[in-house]
Amino acid sequence: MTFLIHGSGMNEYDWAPVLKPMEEAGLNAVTFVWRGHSRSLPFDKEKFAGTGLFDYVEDAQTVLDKYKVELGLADEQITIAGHSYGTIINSYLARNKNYKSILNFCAGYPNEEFFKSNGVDIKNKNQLTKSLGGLWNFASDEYIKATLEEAGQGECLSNYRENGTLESHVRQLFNVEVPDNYNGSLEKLLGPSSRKAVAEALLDPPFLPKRAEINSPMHFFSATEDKMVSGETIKKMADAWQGSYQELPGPHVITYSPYLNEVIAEIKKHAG
Amino acid sequence: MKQEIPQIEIPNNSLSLEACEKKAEEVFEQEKNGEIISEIIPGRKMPLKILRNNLNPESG
Repeated sequence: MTFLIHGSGMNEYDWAPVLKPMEEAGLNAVTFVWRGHSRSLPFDKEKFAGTGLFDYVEDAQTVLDKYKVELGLADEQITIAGHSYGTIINSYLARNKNYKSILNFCAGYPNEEFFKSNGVDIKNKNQLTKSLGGLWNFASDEYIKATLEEAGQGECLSNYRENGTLESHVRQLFNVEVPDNYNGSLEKLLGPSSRKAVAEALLDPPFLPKRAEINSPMHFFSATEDKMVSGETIKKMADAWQGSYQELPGPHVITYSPYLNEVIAEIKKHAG
Repeated sequence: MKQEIPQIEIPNNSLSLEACEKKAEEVFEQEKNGEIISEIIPGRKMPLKILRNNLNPESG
């Protein structure tokens, strides 16, 4: 079975186009939507209040356990694929387990220039996160503006604005309270040093599992045509996590990607 | 010396909005037609929605 985890701001339809092709290849595939992110379930603002990364991890674990039991699977029969921020959930699910493969489709990661210009020495950091792409989005007024404009027109990222799901990430990572209905950037919230804070959080997040806790084979994919992503940086992260690395054409925002077939081929290769 | 902060380049290789919507509609149709299975299960605070393909116990 392949368990598919969407990224920040996305919804249950992110990985949905993968399900049918997997079935046609004789492979079981399951995805779910993080609480508060569904396009079709009603949003409950009161219940969502205070939600953060560990709630999403708990949701993912609930769904994974359900199908593991129903299908009578051993861990070695399970592949987990995450997109962007979903790769962080991957690492929690994989802690001290022996899954078949952990696939990290990295997106929205800043290049090395971002770290250098913010005084963070990437060479001295070994505890690397995989793809905190959402944080990069938060760092910039211009990107937030673009994503919110996109949200106004398409399905992608609509819950950033409508449900305030972006706020849950900011609260988790920076311990900052976000005003209701905030539509601005992290830069505005944290002040002029925000980019350095983002750079440091990206490279050394204290809440991530340690490499020694991950026993499953890790595979990293970067989207080379997505200018927000530096293949070189993702490769360094893959090396730090002792995982394989491969460049794919991008972007990887799955439902909307023109490169869906390339992504599906990789999943089939590792899960089959 | 003041450091220059690199500006973000917005990817310009995404599908057109029309193409995105078409892809999304295809997925909604698959769910509606039962080609992909939708399930809602209880979560800790909120219900959890799952999408999956037709599971084959033989294939693991």
